[in-house]
Amino acid sequence: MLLPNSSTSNSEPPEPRSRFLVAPGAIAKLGRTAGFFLLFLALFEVLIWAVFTRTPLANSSIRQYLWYGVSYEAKLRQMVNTPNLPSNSLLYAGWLGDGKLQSLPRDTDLTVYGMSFSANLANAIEELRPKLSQRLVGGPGAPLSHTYAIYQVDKQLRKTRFAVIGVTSGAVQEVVLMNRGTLYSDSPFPYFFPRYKLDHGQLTLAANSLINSPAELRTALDTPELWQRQLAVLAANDAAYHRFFFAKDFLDNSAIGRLVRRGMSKRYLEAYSHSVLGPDGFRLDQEAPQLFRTLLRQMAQELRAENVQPIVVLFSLQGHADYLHDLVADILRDDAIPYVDSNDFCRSNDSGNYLADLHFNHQCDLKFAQRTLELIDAADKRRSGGE
Amino acid sequence: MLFNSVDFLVFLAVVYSLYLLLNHRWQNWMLLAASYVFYGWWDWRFLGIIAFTTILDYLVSLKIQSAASDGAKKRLLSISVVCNLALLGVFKYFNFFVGSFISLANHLALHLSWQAVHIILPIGISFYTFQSISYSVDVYRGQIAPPRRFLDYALFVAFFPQMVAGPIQRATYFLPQVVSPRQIELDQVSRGAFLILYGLFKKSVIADGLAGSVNSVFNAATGYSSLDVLIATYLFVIQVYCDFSGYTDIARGVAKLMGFNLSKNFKTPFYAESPSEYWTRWHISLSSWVKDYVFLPLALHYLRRGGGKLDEYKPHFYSMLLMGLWHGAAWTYVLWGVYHGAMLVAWDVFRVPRALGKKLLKPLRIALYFQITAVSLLIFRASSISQVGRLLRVLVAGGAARVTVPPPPLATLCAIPLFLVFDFAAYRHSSDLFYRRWPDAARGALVAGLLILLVMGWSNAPAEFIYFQF
Repeated sequence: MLLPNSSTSNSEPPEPRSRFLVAPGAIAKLGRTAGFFLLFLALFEVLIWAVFTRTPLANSSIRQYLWYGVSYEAKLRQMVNTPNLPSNSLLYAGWLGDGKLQSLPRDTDLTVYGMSFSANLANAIEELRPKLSQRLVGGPGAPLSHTYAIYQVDKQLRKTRFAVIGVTSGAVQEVVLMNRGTLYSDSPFPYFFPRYKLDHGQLTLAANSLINSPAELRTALDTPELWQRQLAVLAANDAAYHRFFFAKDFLDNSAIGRLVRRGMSKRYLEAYSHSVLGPDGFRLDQEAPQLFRTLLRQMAQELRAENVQPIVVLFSLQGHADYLHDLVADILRDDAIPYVDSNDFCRSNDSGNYLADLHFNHQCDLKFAQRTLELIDAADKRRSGGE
Repeated sequence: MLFNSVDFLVFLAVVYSLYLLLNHRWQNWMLLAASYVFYGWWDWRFLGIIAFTTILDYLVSLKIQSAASDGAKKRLLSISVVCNLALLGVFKYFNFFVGSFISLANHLALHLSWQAVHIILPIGISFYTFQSISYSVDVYRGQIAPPRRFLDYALFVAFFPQMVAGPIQRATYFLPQVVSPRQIELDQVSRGAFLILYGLFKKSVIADGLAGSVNSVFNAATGYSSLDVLIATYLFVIQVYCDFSGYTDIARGVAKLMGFNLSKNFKTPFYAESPSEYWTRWHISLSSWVKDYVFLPLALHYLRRGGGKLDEYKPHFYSMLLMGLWHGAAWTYVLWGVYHGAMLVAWDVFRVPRALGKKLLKPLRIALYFQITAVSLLIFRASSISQVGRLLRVLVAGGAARVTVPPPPLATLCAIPLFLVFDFAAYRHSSDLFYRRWPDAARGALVAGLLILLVMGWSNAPAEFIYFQF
């Protein structure tokens, strides 16, 4: 049994500042350890440099891993300077001003807008009904602001009866960006897209990118003044832009520096995502969800105005519950927009529905495709009934 | 505010700078204010609960101290225990118990309906509530006197490094450190800094890095093989250990920087050979709490009653059931407690130690008990009893040796062998201080290696500490 402690006595305990005690030789020992610590960090730097520039490992996946944390700008420079880049390289995908849309078929039953999820859906639709003619318009990882912008270009070039607007829950936060580089620098998608804003509830175009094609990107990277102007546009308009993650600097030359940048960029993404998507759904007091809702409604209205039936396909990423549907349910209901909610067929809390690359597995895509075709058939039936 | 966040680094830098400038009394005031800021960072409404617990138990302890009769002391202690348990009951178990009752009633064709009340679970409530209860009991038992200053007691309850996930401190051990002026030794600071680095390494590089692989099975309804379940379970064993012990290391490290010593929570638990040994190695602060405040009084009670063999085992079961329920309001935790209770009893009934001692070498005994621990953690991780059944069925059924569990990130794959070697060395030396006897160059290399891996693993998606939910 312990005795009552000293504070229970009548005398006040002394009130000295904490004493800092140093045992003899402790500082020297700590100093030696710290010296060796710094030496090993330096050795690591030299080793990484030597092994991954002077040996066959220069093209290995480990080198790629150690390169991830390089600035987005450095990645873009490496990409545009890679000789003999294949035509399906990401460098050439998603641009609004490269004229590629003109090479797509002009008269189709269905136009599918969106990103890779939409592309998988289009493939599944083709598998189920090969006779349905399609054109696919979008960009890798494209958010709805990109979709809306590319639709503005596309609608001048085609005739279609139905349009799928594919949107993912993960890309809601991206409608306030002009490029995905700050948030997702591991896998650069170089294309830029316009920045829209809400002005008293009305959709307005706030800024256009100065760079709208791979050729313009090459020119800008070779023209410091132009590149700095582009960075200034991003700094002023891209809600997630951060120079530390985007623009080239001295850390690009250090293995540890690159690892630090990568770690910080992942945490930056995490914090940014949490500011838009809370534990109970999208935060409607944030700009991104509000803008997303307006863009969706606007695009559906414009499609109807040109006599195209819109079908919205909501792709919920793993762990995102049914938040995407919750965000736009009232719009879909009030405007009577037909839609497919991935969560109705493949629950987002079941990781078995997803592939390792975060996309849905093929069985899920087939279910979404089947439902999309049912909506198309129902609309066709209504149309023929009306006629 | 997570330990593995930049916010916390800034917070700690500010708090530590002030700490070094102040005298003892102002240090305690500042630490109390910092602890409330730290706790209120999650939700300022939590502050009312911890303040209530603190004031209640401090006042009750003063009354117990001055009470004239044993009966009065007992009544006062009851007030403290009942109020603390009521807080836990409302904030942690209300929906669970009412929901379970309604479910049972509906099974019995009594058609009741009920809308779950949305009650926010204050983070770490189980930790500081148990700490506070133990203080009241210790005062009642005369093992410690209430401190003269309320400030000291309030800091004992709310000390930020350990408030939200332990280790649960005993007043007899920790309160004197709060009350008396502290000395800071350079040696202690360097040990504290190492513990913080090692804790961050375990949490950010290993635990967070393994989350994706573990979740790929435990968050999936179907589509996994027996090998997937096996791998995910083993990975979860490493994940939960690194997550919880990582938190403890950081808490102990931060406390050491300021001249405090927090009690240990882990001693290489996966080298246990038996259930009773396991509970001297895993979550020691909780298991020793349950032993001292539940198991021993119960054992004494049944011993006095002079019951049969069954009575002898009841304290094991009740203690483990409490441990299970302490973790949370879910039937999986109840099952987890029952499972561990059953293991304790089985080891005794079937005289497993002697049987195994004859036939098996020590490494095999350790390996065998590790499998038992792994099953308990499968139950712990599962989201429902039906998932436990499903996973165990798949595990036992065998079948195709197909693996769909995604591999952890490179940093995690590099870190796990280092961690296992470190843990094994700690086991062999019966101390995790073994590295301090290494030559300077080896220590420098160890710290550099940990830092490089930490920087590599910093890109793993940061998650809350698993034990924050308790």
